[in-house]
Amino acid sequence: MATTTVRVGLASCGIASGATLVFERLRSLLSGRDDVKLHKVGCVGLCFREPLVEVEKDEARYLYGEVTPEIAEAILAFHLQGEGDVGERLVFSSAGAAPENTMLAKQVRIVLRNCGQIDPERIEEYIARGGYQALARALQMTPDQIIQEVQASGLRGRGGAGFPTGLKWKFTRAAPGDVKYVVCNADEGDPGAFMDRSVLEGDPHSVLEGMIICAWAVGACEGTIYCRAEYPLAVRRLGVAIEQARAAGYLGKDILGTGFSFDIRVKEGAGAFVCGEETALLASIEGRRGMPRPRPPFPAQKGLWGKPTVINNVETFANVPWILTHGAAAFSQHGIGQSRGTKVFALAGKVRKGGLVEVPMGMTLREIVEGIGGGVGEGHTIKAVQMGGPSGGCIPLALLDTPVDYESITATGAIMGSGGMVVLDDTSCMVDVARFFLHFTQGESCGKCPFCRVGTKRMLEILERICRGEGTMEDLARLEELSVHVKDGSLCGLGQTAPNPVLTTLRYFRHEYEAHIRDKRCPAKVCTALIRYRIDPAKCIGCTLCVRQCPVGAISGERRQAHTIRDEACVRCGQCIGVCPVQAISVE
Amino acid sequence: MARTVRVLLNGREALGYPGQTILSLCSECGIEIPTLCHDPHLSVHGGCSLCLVEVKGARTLIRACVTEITPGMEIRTDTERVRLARRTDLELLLSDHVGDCRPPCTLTCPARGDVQGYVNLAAQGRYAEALAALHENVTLPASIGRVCPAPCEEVCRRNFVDEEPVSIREIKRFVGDWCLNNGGLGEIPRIEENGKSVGVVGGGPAGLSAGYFLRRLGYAVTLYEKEQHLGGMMRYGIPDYRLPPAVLEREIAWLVKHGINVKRNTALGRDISLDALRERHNAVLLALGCWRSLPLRVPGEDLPGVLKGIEFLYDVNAGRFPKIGPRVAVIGGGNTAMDACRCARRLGANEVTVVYRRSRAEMPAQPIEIEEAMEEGVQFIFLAAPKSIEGTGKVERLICERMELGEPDASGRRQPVPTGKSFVLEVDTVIVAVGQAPDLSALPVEIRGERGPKVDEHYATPLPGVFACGDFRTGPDIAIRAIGEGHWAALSIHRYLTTGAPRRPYECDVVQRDLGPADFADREKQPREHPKVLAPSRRLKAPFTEFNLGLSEEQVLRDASRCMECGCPDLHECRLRRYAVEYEASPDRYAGAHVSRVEEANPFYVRNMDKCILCGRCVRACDEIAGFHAIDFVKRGFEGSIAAEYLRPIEDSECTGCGMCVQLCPVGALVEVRVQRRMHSAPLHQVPTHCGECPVGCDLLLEVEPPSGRIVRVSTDLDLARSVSFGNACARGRLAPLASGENRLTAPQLRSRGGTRPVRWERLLDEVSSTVREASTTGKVAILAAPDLANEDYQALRQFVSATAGALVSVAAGPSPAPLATLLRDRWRTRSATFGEVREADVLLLIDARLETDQPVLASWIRLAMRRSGTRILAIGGELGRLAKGDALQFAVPPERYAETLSALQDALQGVNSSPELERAAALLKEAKRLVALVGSSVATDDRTAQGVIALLEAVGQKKILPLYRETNLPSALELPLTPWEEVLASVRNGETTTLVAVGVDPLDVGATEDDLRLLRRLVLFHHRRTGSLPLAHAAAPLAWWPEREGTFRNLVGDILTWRPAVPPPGDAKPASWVLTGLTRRLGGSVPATA
Repeated sequence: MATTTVRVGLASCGIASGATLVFERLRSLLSGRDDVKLHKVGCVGLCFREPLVEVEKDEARYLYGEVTPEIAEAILAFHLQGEGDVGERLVFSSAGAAPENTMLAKQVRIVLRNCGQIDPERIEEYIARGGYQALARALQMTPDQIIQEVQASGLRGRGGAGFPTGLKWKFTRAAPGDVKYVVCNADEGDPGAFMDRSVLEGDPHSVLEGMIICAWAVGACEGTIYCRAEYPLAVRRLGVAIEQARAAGYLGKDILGTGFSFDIRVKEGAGAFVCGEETALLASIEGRRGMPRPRPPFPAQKGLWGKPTVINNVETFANVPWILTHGAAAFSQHGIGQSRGTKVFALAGKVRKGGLVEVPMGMTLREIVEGIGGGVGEGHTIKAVQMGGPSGGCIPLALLDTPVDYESITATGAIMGSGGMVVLDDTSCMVDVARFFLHFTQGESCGKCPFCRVGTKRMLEILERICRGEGTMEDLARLEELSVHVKDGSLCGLGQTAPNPVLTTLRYFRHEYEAHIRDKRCPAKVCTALIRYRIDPAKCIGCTLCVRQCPVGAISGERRQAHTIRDEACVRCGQCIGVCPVQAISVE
Repeated sequence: MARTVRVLLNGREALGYPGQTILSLCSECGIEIPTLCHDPHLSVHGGCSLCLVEVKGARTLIRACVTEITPGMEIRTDTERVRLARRTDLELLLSDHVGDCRPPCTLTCPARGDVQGYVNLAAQGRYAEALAALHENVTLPASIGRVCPAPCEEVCRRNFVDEEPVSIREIKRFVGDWCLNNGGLGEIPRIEENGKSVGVVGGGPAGLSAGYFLRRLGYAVTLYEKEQHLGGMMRYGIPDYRLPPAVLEREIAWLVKHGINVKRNTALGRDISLDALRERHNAVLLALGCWRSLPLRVPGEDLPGVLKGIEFLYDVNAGRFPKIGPRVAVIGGGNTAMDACRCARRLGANEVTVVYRRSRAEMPAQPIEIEEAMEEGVQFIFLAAPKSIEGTGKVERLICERMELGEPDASGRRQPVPTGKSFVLEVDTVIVAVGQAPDLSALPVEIRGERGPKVDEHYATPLPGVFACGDFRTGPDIAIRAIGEGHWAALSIHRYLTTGAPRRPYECDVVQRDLGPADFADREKQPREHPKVLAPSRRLKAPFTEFNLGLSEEQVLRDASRCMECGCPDLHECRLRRYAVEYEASPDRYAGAHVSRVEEANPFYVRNMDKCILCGRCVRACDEIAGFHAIDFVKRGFEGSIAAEYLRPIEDSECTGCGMCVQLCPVGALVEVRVQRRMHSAPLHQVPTHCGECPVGCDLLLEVEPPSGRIVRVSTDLDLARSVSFGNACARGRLAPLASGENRLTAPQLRSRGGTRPVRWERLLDEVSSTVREASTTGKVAILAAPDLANEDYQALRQFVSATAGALVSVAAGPSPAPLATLLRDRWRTRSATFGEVREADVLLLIDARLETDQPVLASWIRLAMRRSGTRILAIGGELGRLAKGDALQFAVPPERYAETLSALQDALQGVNSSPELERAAALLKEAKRLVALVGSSVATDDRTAQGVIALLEAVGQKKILPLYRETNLPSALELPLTPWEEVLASVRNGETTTLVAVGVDPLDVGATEDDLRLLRRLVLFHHRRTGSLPLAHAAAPLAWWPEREGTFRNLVGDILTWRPAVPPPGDAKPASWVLTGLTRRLGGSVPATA
C-alpha cells in the first residue's frame, strides 16, 4: 500500500503563525493510522504563507499555505477521502498548476535541500536523504584532496566577506600546531535575516557534517557552534542532532572506525551583534568581553585559545556535504565568475512574497525581487533593494539588473553580506532608511575604536538632524567625510561597513537628502518632523472614526461636520488614515 | 635576530626583523607614529586608531601597532589620507572628551596668560616664580595689572560662587610690583644667538613683546621707535594716574635688557624706509599702533579749541599740558573719551561733559572708568549727537541732536536714531574721541588695505618677510591683545624663518561651556578682596598720581587662594591634546552628545570618566603590571566606560591604589589626588630615587614642578633595567612624597623659660653637645634611633656614641626576623631569596606575612604570578588580604602556634597524623619546583619557628627564604651596639638615664609616656615632623626626609640602594648624619673625613 506523508513546517516562522495547533490537530486525526506518516519539518521558505502543510502522495507533492486546524482537517479529507476542495489554499504542486510553482522552480536548493523535507530531530531522515555519505566519502580521502575539492568548487564564505573557503582551510591546515579548532558562526545578528536559523532548525545535521569534514581536512580535534541564545529552537535541535550523531558514530571518538576523533559543542551567545565578527566571537567563546581585535593574525593562524582555527558560518558548512557528495563540478556549474554555487536570501521589506529563497549566484536582482518575490504592491514602484543587512547598501532601481555575485554587488557600494535583502518602494524615505540602519549598527558598536564608537554616533546625530529638518549642507559634507573615515579607520567589519547605508544612499539618492535640508521636505512622506496630516473638508463625512482612533486626541470635530487635526498635538502615527472610510486624510 | 625583512617605508628602503610591527620599525627609523592606547609594557589593544598608516594593496588603513611587516610591504605614514584619518580620529575623541584643558581665564586672555599658574604661585607667596610664569606670555605685567580691563575676570568661575571673580588683575599687578621692589624682574637668561635678525617697527606693547619673544628665540632684534620713549599707547595714551610712567619704564627696561637694540626717534617713512628695513633684516614686523584720530565730520570741526582725543592724551602724557577752557565737551564713549574727560578735569576744567550718541549700556568704555569719571565730577549726556560746532574764531558752543535707540546694528549694539530735536551746549573746548585708525601713509601700496595693512591670520603681509601685528593690524584694542599679537607674530616669524612658511601656533582646547552656579553649589563662599582706592576729591588734588593703591600681600594671598583651578591637571602630560595640536584637530567639528560619567575620587586618585577615551590602558595596567583586576570595561559602544566590578565603588574592588593605571593614563581621566594649589604652567622634571617607606625600596621617579619646587606626582620607570621593583610601586610610595611638606618641623628650636624660640643650628648643636657632655658625667645618656635612617646616619651615630662614652643606644623597631637570617647564613651559607625568585616561584610559603600592609609591592607581584602562572599560596598566620583567592591554603593560627603548625606539616610530609588540609598542604610542598618561603617578623618571638621553617624546607629540598621585616633599613640599624628599648625606658623611669636624644623617631610613638619624658632632665628631638613630644623637648631640630636627601640604605634582599634628593628640605632641615657629625665634632670625637 502506498503511504501518504504529511509534513508540517515547524520552524520558528511556522510556530509563530500557529503551525503547532495544526500539527496537533493532524496528529490527533491521524493517530492509529499507519498508512499516513506525519512529520515535523523545518522551514520551506514561503514565509508569507505560513503555516504550511505538505502532502506527499503517489509520488506527487501538494503544499498548502495559511493552514488552520480546520483547513488541515479539510486537506486530510480531500487527500484521504477525496472529499471537498482545498484548492484555494494550494501553494505549490508537483502534479499540476499552483500559484507558487514558478517561485520555487526558479530556485536551486543546495543549502536548503532538506529544509521542509525532513524531520530535523530524526537523524534517520537525514541519512535517508543521503546524509553523512559525504562524511564517509571524505574520510576515505586525504585532507588535501578534500581541500582541493572544496577549492575546486569555488565555495566562498557565506557569512558576507566571501573569502574562499578552501583557501581558509588550507591556511589552517598549514598553520603549525597540534591543536586546531573548527568554529561555526551561527550568531546570525542582522535584523530580519533568518537564513542560518532556518538551516539550523530545519537541517542541523548538514551543518554538523560540514564541520566534521572540515575538521578532518584541517586536522582539528574540537568544534564549537556559536549560536545566539535568541534561537532557542535552533540550539535545542543542534543539541539533539549532536547527540544523535554521536550515538551513530559520526561524532566523538574514532569516527566511523577511522581513528579520527572530533567533537562539537554549542556555545550560546548573549546577543551582541558584534560577536558575529570572528575575532569578537572567539573572544566570547573564551569567556572574554566580546570585542574584536585587529587582524592579522587571522584566526587561521591564531584563533580560539591562540590556536589555528577555521571559522565559517552555517550556510558555508551546509554546502560542504553536498559538494563532497555531488562533486565540485556539480556545485560550480551554478553561478558566474568568482561566485559559484547558490546563495540563500531572506527576502523582506515591501516585496509581496517575502521569505527564504535560494538562488544560483549570478541571478539578477530583478529576477529575485520580481520573478521570485513578485515585486512590490499594487500601485507602488520599487525604489531600491537594500542588501547585506544593516551594514549593507541600497542598490537603486536603475541597477536592478545587477547579477548577484560578490564582485558586482560590491561594485554598487552594497555588500553580499549574509543574505539580507530588503525591498524598498516609493513609500520608503532613503534618509530614514540610512538613519534606521545606522541606528542599529551604532547601538551595536562595542566601543573599542573611536571611529565606530564616536564616529557612528556623530553620523547618526547628523542623520537625525536631517530627518528633523534641521540639517545643513555643511552637515551633509561632514556626514560624507565622516562616513569615509569611519569606513577607512574602523577596527573591525562592523565599523568598516556601518557607513554603507549612508554612502550608498548619498550616492544614489542625494536629492532626497537635499530635499530634507534645502526644502525641509521628505519626498516619501516618512520623516515625521517634515510631514503634516490634513483632512480634506470636502471629502470628510464627519464619521468620527478618526477622532476615536487618534491615540493623542489631536483630531476634533462634530458628527457630520468636517474634522480637523491639531498639528502641534499630532504624533504622525498614521492611524487615522487607516480608519478613514473616504480617504479624506492625506499627508503633506 | 637578523634584519631580513625589506620594506619600503615612505619611499625609502628599510630593513626590519621578522615579526616586527610597523610601529616598532617606524620608531627605529625616527618616524613618530602617534598612539594613545599602545604602550610597550602592555598587551596590544589596537583600539585608539591613531597609528593608522597606509599600506599598498590594503583596502582600509592599517594599524601600525599590531601589523607585522612583511617582505616588500610598501608603507606610507605621511599621506593626506593618513593625516586626515588621524585628525578625524582625534576630533571624534575630542568631541566626547568633556572638561577644560586650559581654564576659561587663560582662554579669554588675548595673550593666553597662564592665569591658573601665576595665581597659584602667588597664593603660595612665590612671587618671583609667579612673575616668571607671567613672563612666558604676559610682558609688562605690573603695567598690564593696572590698565587691563581683565576679560579673564569676567569668565572666572568664582563668579558662580561669590558673584565676584578672583582679583586676577590686581594679583598680577602685585606680583609685578613686588618683584620690582624686591630684587627685580628676574635674571636675564643667556641667549643663544641664531644669526638672524628681525626689525620691529613700533615700541608699544606689541612691538616690545615681539622683540622680547624673538630675542628669547635667539634673533637679533632692532626696535625702531618714532618717539623718545618706548611704550607706545601705554606710554603716550594712558594717563599717569592710571599707569605711572616709572613702572612702565622699569618693565620696559627689563625687556630691552634681553638684548633688544633700540633706535629711538626713528619713524617709518620719515627716518627710514620699509625697503631699507627689509634689506637690513631677515624679517620686518610692523607694529605701528593706531594713532590717527577719526574726524567727527561736522561743521566747525576746524575751529581752534577743537582737539583730537588721542593727540590731547599724547600731549598730556608728554608733559605738554594743552590749553583748555573751563567748559569742556568730550565726544565719544570709549576708553579714550574717558581718559580725555578725566584728564580735562585734572587740567582744571570744572565743567566737563561727555556727549555720547547711545545710552550708558552701549558705552564701549569699561564700567569702572565711567564710574570713576562720574565720581570725579564729569557730566554725561547720553543719546546726543553733535551736529555742529559754532563760534567766532574759536569754539563757543556745541549743537547736539537728541537721539533714540533703534534696532541693533552689526556690532550688536542698538543703533542711535535722530529725533530731530536739538539742544545747545556752551563750551570752550571740544575734545573729539570718536575713534582711531592706523596711519598707513608709510606703507607701500601692495600691503595697504582699506582700513589697515593687508595681513593674514598668520600676521604675514603680501610682502615676503613683512609682518604686522598689534593695534596696527586689529584697530584700537586693549593692551593685552597687542601683547598677545606681538607674541604670536614673533612665533609666526620664527616659523617663517625656520620653515619658510609663516604660521601662528595652533591652539586646541576642550572647553566645558555648560557650567553654572549649580555646579559649584558645594564650594565655600569667599568674598573678593578689593584694592584701596583714593577718594575722588584726593585724586584731583594730586591729579597725575596713581590713585589705585592695589592689594596688600595678605589680600593677595587670600584672593589668590580663591582660584578653583579649573584647568586640567594633566595639561602638560595629556597626549590627546599634544596630538590634537600637532594634527590641528578641532574639538568642535564633530560636537555632539556626551554620556556624562560621574567624577569619582577615592583616597588615591580622581577618576574623571568624562575625560576617558576608552583606550583601556588602565585596565591593562591593572591586569598586566599591577597584578590585580580592579577595573574593566563596562557597557558598550558610545555608553562604554571603565568601572570596578559590577559598577560598585572602587573601594570594594581589588584596587590597592598602586597608581599604575594613573601613571599610564594618557589623558586627564585618571589623576593623582591633587596636591593643594597645583601649578599649571610647566612640564615636570623627574628625579629617580628609591622609596623609603618600606624595606623593598622601590625605584621611584619623583616628579617635581620646576617653579614651585614641589613633588606633585610619583611615577616609576617601566624601562629601568635592573629595577629593584620591576616598575611597580604601591599607594604608600606614590602618596607619601606628595605629603612631604605637611606638618614639618622647619627650624631648630630651644626651650627656655617662657617657651620655645628658634635658634641657629650652631647654637642648637652647641647647646645639645654641652648637655650631652654634662649628662654623661651626672647620669646616663640614651639615644633612640629610627630604623629607617640612612647607612650614613648610622655610621655617624656610631661615632657619636663613641664620643659620648657609655651612651645607651636603642632602635625603635618591632621584633625582627634576624635570627632567621643568622640561621640562613650559618646553616645554609646562603643569603635570602631575591625578589626575582619570589616573582618566579611556583609555590609560596607565607609565614606571618602581612604583605599588603608591610610590603605591598610583594602582594602585587604574587597576585600577578598567581593569575599568570598559577603560583600557589600556602599561608601560616599573617594576613593574606587579596591573596586569599582561588585555592590559597591558609592556616589561620596565632604566632605561638606557628612552630606547632610547621611540625604538623613536617609530619604530613611523612604521611603521619595528617588531616585532609595538611595533606593538601604537604602535597603542594612536595610538588613545588621553585618554592620560596616569606617569613614575617613574629618568628623572632619563638625560636622554634625559625628552626621549623628551615627544617621544613630542608625536608622538601628547597632553600629559598626571604625574611620580612617592616622597617626600611632595619639590618643596618641592628648593627649598632644596641640596648633593648624596654631597658632604656626602665632606666629613664628609675632616674638613671637623664638625657634622651631621639633621632628620627618620637619616643611617644614607641611606648614612652609623657610622664616618662617629664622625668628626663633633657629631651632632644631630631625629627622631620612636628610630633607629639615636641612640646616636651628641650631642644628640637628638623631632619631632612628621604625625598629631600642623599643617603644609602639596605633593602629586604640586601641590595644597597641610594636616595637622591628631589626637592630641598623645608627650612633648615638637615640629614641626621650632618646633625650627628656636628655633635660628635663638638664632643671631640672623631668624624669621617668626608663628613
